[in-house]
Amino acid sequence: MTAPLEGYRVLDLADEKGAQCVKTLAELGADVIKVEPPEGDPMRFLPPFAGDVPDPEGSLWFAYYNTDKRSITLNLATEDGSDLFKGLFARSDVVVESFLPGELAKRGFDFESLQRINPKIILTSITGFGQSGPRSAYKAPDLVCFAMGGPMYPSGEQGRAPCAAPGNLAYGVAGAWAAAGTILALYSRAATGVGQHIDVSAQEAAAMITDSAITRHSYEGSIVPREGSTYPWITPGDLYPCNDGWVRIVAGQVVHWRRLVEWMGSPAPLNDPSWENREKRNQNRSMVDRMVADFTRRFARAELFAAGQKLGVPVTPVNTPGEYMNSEAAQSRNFFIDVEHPVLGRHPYAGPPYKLSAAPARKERPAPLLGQHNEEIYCGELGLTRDELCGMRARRII
Amino acid sequence: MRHESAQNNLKNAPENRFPLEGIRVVEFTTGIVGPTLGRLLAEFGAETIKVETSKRPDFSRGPAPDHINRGISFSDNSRSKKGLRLDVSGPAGHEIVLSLLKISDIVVENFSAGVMQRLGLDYPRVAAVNRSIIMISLQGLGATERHSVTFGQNIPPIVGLTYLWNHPGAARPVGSELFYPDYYAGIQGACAVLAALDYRRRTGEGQYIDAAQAEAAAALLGPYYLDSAVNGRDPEPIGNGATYASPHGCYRCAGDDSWCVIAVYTEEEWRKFCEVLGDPSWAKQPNFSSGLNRIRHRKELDRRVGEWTAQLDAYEVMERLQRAGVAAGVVQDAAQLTNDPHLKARGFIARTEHPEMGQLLHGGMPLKLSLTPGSVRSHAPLLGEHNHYVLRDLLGLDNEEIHRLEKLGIFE
Repeated sequence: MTAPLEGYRVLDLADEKGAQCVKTLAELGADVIKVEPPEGDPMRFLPPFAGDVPDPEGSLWFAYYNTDKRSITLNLATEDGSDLFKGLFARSDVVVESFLPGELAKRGFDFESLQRINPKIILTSITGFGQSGPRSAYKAPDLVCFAMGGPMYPSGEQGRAPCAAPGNLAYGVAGAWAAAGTILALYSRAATGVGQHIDVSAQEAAAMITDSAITRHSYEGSIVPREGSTYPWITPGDLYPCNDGWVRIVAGQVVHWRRLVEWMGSPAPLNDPSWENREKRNQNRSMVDRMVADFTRRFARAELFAAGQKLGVPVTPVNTPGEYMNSEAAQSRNFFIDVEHPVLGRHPYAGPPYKLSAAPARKERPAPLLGQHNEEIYCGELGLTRDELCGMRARRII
Repeated sequence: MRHESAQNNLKNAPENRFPLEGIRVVEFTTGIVGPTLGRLLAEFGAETIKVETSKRPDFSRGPAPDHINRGISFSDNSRSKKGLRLDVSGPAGHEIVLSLLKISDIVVENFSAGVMQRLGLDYPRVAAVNRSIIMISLQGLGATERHSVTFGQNIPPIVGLTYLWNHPGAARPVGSELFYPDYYAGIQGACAVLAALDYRRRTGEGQYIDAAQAEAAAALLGPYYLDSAVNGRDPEPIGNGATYASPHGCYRCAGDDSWCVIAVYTEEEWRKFCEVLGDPSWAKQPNFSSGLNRIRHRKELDRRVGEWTAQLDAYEVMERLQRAGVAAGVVQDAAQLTNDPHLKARGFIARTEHPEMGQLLHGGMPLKLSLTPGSVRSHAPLLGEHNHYVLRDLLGLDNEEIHRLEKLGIFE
């Protein structure tokens, strides 16, 4: 075995909500088959596109989230399509889906029915509000889950509308939990012999990244305010200007403060030890911030980052995505991995966020073209003849 | 704690609430990322033991001496675990911790890069006493000392997250003070650890995992990097908007700092949206006649939508729109989150009884496994709360020996 989840097969029926979950399973080595409707997965129509030209093979969103998967097309709403799915399903370990609760049951694929065909199956359902509860039928784009889960309230500036995070953060966190739950279910299946149903809520997942908002509120009744990147209780704790953009400095610990003052050339009055008192700095925040900004303004972001890391001062550059890609921080770890895509060409993709020593995660194959593996799977595994496959195609089942 | 509502679809399935029962985890962690990972394992049944000293407790514990057990973040992120107070920097403490690692399965550490080496607890030395152990390091930019002054709160700028997390056209980056990469990287780390555990079940082999928080955060921005690489440009922040939908944003509602997000994607949803607003005459203007026009005239449309929401309670906006099939959601603050009837109905809010802090509420677990649900198990450990259990019951030291070691000061 060369990858930790090698030998497990996953059927991917999910939309954006499940993208991070299935990507994680694929990177960790599972054999993932994306089951798309004949017209293509809706994710194929999400911008940005290569050259800004909308094309089912040109969505960079799709290209990123679907590496190391195979693609088949299938119309689940037809009798033949449903039979083919059952055949596939009988030889799989995991199904990941993100339909509104009840939708899968309408097609005859509720968990009980699935389990009758394959008792070992693990069904992972990722939805905005979960399978139960009064709001389970709510429409739940990422923005709604991010708002209802709590992390949006403290994000952004005071006095302005809260600001949503880039990407699909609520879905992303839900995906990580879902993947962890799915792997756990595979692990425990070895002991029990049976699969199970996993119900993941993106609203609840979003609530897990709120800096313990619920516990904080229950203990001291407080609500974290909206302050952007400013730490109201740490000085310096903010974004500071440089000659080519901004850096972040959060120097709450005494040792960080001392090193920063030394680095600034020990200017008066900050060189007096009395300023090591956090409260004093917080009370004189505007003055401290001004002196720090006068210092940082003389340098470029990269200079401050490199020197800060060397001196032990927590200062980091506000990079654009492109700047991070080309940074030493990313390149020294080979985080971006070149993947050759038949339509898009060869480009660097963000890789798995961990390196496992015995059985590494991977990013090897590009996202599949629509239905690229139909013949391989329908004929090679499910025993359809090429004529039958052709007929299924003509009837828009495949 | 409250997963009784989780449906158990299996009539005769064996009871297995805690699938990681029998797995022992040792944590050398501080802050959020490592504790988040150790907590997930604990709440699915692992015995997670957190090793700390009074000199260097988890920094989220709260100020010593009076509040050392009362850190809010600690009480949430380290719930369901046991606490061992042990100084591992000298030979006696080192020997004890190695004997604990010998009977453990997983090590989680997120000290600054290089600290575990200095403590003599880096992977090769741990693996020397326990070949099948799985060890994960979770630093800001990975387990290299070159970028060791990086952690959750200063990671978002590096990977482009702070730059992108902004309203369009703003002069200054905005971002969020949430320690979000910590929480996310902890759960991504759990995926790797659990996969390694299953790998060990199948092959007998342990392994070392080097996880970088920055890369976990970056992995959620994948399409942006690809946009930069393929199209040769840096993507711009889009705030609450979307390039392909309008209205799509966050709108002020009646009351103090009260907001509701709304997202309209299809023609059908637009018709329903107008219906909920009482089919106002402005909505029939040519400016709003098609998806493209609504995107082109997004500012004007946002103003109109805002005029409507400003008169209504945020929950009323959400409920009216959702009833009609239009996506909407209140920007809930901590109080609203705690009292959310939907979360209550799902049993998401958990409780612990803390000996010093009293009853605490928590976000429980955002997923329900029908057969092996796990649960929130106990309050976060007081510093050294389980020394007796670990030293005597697990390691088999007798009172005399414990007393001798105590005199060396290693349990302080």
